[in-house]
Amino acid sequence: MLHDDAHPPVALEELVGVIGASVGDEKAREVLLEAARGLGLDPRAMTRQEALALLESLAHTPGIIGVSSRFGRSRLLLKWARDNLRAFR
Amino acid sequence: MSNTESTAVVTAIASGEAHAAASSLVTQLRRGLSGREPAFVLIFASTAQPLSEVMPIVADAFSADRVLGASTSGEFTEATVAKSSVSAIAVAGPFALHAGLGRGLKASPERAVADAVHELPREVEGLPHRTAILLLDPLAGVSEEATLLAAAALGDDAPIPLAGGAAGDDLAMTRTWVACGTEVASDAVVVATIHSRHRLGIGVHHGHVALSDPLSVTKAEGATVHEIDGRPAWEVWAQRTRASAAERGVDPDTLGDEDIGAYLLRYEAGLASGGAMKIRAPLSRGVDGSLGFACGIAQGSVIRITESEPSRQIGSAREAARRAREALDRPAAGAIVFDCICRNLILGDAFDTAVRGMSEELGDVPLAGFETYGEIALDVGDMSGFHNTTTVVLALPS
Repeated sequence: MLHDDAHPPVALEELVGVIGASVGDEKAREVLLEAARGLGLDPRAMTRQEALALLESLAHTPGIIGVSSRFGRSRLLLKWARDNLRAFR
Repeated sequence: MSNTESTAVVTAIASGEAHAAASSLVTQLRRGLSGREPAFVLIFASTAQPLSEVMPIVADAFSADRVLGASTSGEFTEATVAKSSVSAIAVAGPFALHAGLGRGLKASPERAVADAVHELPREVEGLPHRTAILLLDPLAGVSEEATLLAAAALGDDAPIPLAGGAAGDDLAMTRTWVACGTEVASDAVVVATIHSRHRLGIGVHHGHVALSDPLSVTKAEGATVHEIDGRPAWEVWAQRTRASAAERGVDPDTLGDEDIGAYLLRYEAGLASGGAMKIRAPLSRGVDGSLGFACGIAQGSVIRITESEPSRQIGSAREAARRAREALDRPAAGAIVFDCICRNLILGDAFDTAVRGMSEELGDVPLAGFETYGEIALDVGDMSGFHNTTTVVLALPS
């Protein structure tokens, strides 16, 4: 479902839009950049698996960051799965 | 429920002693329903008519598992805007409501939401559409968290839209209540799903603009912001809003504790999000100068203090109603409205103009709602669902 060579790279800004809706874009960008550095990811171009791993790494953060990361991860996964299904129709 | 029956929406409002007000609501709703049984009833009660006294009477008159409630800071129908009253809306037709209540929201939003949703059915035969209603205690400080958790629990594999409101307590900011049947609780969340033949429409809009330049939350824990730009949060709030407040003859330095809640609700925080602003309401001031919010504010967040003017508030209510109407695939039969108390504070006597505007925009239909401490609107593609300063309109299809 998430074969990396089949999809365009994911930029960190796309993930900012995911959790920034709950915590604001500036804070979202800060925590995502820090987590990306910790995981050794290139924030300009991640695979889908890497983007999901990045959100997963934040999912256990206490409070609103963790909750919005978990929610965003599951909704992104669903969105990408649906995009894939559409592509096969 | 017949698959061919039409939608009937009946609203009512009453004031005075709680038992008498509840009995009056039942009488008004029964009369309007003309013998039909409602699929669900929502009760919005001020602190003058405690839910613990109102709900048993309404639940006894109708089926208890179809009656939900929230405490409020103002109540209205399409015909009447009131304080110290209780409003109600009853809906009959091709709908089925299922609901649960979860307690201990502050300690564990995950557990509270799980308890509220665990018996809700995924499907009801003949009613293909599903919409959720959330009613929660905002003083638990986890409103956004609970909203996202409920959205995930209800439909991570098949997302559904959510609408709802955070209960009020007439600006006392001490204790708010939600109810499911005869179960009435503080520090709790009610999650309900409405299964329907046709889809419901949700519209949300706010009319706030930035008043301050960007400010950094330099010390925060959960829903409490201790410091902004390295200073006590209230000190910064008072400084940045002083000039605007002075135009209304208000001095933040002389406010008593009883006036702080209303003051803060006029000057809420805005988080930049995708070119727009997501509003977050401060609800209380701590003795140390901290501010308590209705949901978590992460340390390091960048906020702007916001304000609004009456014309923007009237326009935003109409816009929310228009969006809800356009989300329907048929004319509206009525609506449930979750409206931020700050809008009432800003509009004053003109608030009924905003309510009339919503009804007109929906086609002169009945509506009922309450003044909230936060609104919930999360459509299928949204990544956030808890709002402040907004009007959320849940339009019911004819």
